[in-house]
Amino acid sequence: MLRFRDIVLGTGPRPGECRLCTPAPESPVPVFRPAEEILADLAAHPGEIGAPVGVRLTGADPLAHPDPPSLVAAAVRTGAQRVALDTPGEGLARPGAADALLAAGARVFEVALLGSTEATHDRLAARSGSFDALAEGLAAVASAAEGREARVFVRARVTVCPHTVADLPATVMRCAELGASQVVLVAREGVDPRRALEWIGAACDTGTVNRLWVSVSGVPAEALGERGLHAVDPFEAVHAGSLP
Amino acid sequence: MSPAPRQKVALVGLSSVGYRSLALGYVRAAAQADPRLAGSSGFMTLDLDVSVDPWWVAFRVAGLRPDVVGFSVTCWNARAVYDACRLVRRSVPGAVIVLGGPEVSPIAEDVLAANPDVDAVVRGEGEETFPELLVALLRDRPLWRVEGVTARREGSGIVSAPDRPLIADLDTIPSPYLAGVIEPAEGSAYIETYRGCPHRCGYCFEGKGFGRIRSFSRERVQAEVDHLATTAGLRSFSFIDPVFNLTSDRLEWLAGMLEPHARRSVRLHTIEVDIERIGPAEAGLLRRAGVASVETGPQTVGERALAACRRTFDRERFVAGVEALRAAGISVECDLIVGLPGDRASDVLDGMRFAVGLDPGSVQLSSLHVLPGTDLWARADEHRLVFDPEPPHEVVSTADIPFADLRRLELCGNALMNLYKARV
Repeated sequence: MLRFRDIVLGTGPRPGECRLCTPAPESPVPVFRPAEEILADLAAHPGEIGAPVGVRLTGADPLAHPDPPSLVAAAVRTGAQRVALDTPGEGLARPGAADALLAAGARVFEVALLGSTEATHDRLAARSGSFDALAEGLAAVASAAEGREARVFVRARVTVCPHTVADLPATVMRCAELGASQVVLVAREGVDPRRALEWIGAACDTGTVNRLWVSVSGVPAEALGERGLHAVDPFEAVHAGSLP
Repeated sequence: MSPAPRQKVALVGLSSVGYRSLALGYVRAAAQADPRLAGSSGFMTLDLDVSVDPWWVAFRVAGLRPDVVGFSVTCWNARAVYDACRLVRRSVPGAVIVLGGPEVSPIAEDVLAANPDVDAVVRGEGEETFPELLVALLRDRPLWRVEGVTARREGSGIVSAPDRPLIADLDTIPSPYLAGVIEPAEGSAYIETYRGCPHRCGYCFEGKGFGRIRSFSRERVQAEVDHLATTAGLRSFSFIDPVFNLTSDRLEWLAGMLEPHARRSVRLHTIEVDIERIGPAEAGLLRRAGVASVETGPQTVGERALAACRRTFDRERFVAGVEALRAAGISVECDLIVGLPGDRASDVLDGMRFAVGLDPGSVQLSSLHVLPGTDLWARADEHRLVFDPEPPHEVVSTADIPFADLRRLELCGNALMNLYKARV
């Protein structure tokens, strides 16, 4: 499908991790690699004209970087037609942030949702106000995209863990309401497949009837049974080194 | 002051926003030019948005107080037309309601049986048949005797007169543009330079059952293009020909004819091409002609579906065609169909990967519509194709892909297309 090479910006809390499953790191503040290293990574794998390879900025929340638009612009300068940001999404709500990112060339926003309600999401993310900020940020992206007549793609990542599993169908529904273009359910290691599959199936079907594609990651296609097609993800993340 | 016509004819097109029915333009131009109708028949065209409430369609039609109401019907507007007919029948009870077009022509008797408010269906080309039908009405002759018409006969149900032969010389059909019955809509005009199609794809009604290709003369096409190009506000042409690059000679002629207008920034949008016959030279000609974008297959890359639909696909030549067009600065829209007989889910996914991997500019994914008059319509049972009997006849399931997986493939494909479009 459409390939995106990952450019690791640094280290920090992974967006979308359930804090009841994975305690927050000692330092919740992202640590970014030096700018010159990131730029060198981007330059080492220039986009090929005619080859639809995008760039995903990941590893640390790109919106926590001192100058996110400059990172996006640098990726665009390498020839990438699609720049994706792997982020919790809260930073999109900052005034002007979404528009500045679109102006620089960001077109794909990979955000994280942990529950169908503000209370559930904020509790599992261990951040008060997180849900509202994400919703506000996605609205800002949609508004900026309309203003710039730009096409954007919002990929909502939903962690499947014992704390989220029963809420998956409602969470997919909420993703549709927030304007997601796709949902990816990421099954955490250790999830009991017998219990999870029923909810994953219901979540997939909820997406289907709401015209929203739901991909499932971390569960083999065969285990999904008649819903095996949900193992297909149009977004293909590849490590920079694995590109030809 | 001339006397009021004895017969008022309203032609109604229900189209997408920005479109005008070229078919109704042809039919009206032909009827207006018929000396037998001169002075006795008056014509009006209503071009309406297909989403307009059928009550308002009836309101507009009733306001014209017509004696005859003609609708052009495709699979896309058929439901809206049938709804409008039901209300027109009751709001203008004396009007004769006539349908024509690709949706009703191949299944005329079924359409009349299912729609008691419709009086007649014009089958095949309408430019000769519709004026004949109007003459029959003026002279109080039965419609079911008019060649190319299916109509109701009192006491005998629905009767189809014999088919009317194809119009041998297309130049005998008056040009709707030169006759002044149709004007460019929103800066764009649609042009037809020939009828028929060199291909026989099982799902397509593009050739409309016409067995051979018949062309308008080059002089006629040139006259239409020159007329349109001097129309204020014209920004683009669209050619509705099934294959724009039908022959090298023809492509060269079209490029030469259109080049002066291209220099004035009149563009050609979304013409359909046989991409496997495009190399750098052909791409250069298309560029000269002002082509900004082309539309093409592959529809599928699955060998079983290609065979079932009588299509060919040469991967290397297809790729070479896309590259030649891209090098000439022309955007390509690759079309894929979900639900063709023979295709498995993996074939559909392979098609998506192939099309997106080419980075053509645009990729369009749509479900199969099993259209009346096509080979797939006739052989649906043999292929175990299940489709909605109501227009637009979308596929429900195939022998290889169940109902739910077809819906999943559509959604997955749409997500991919949206991701593909999200770019700088």
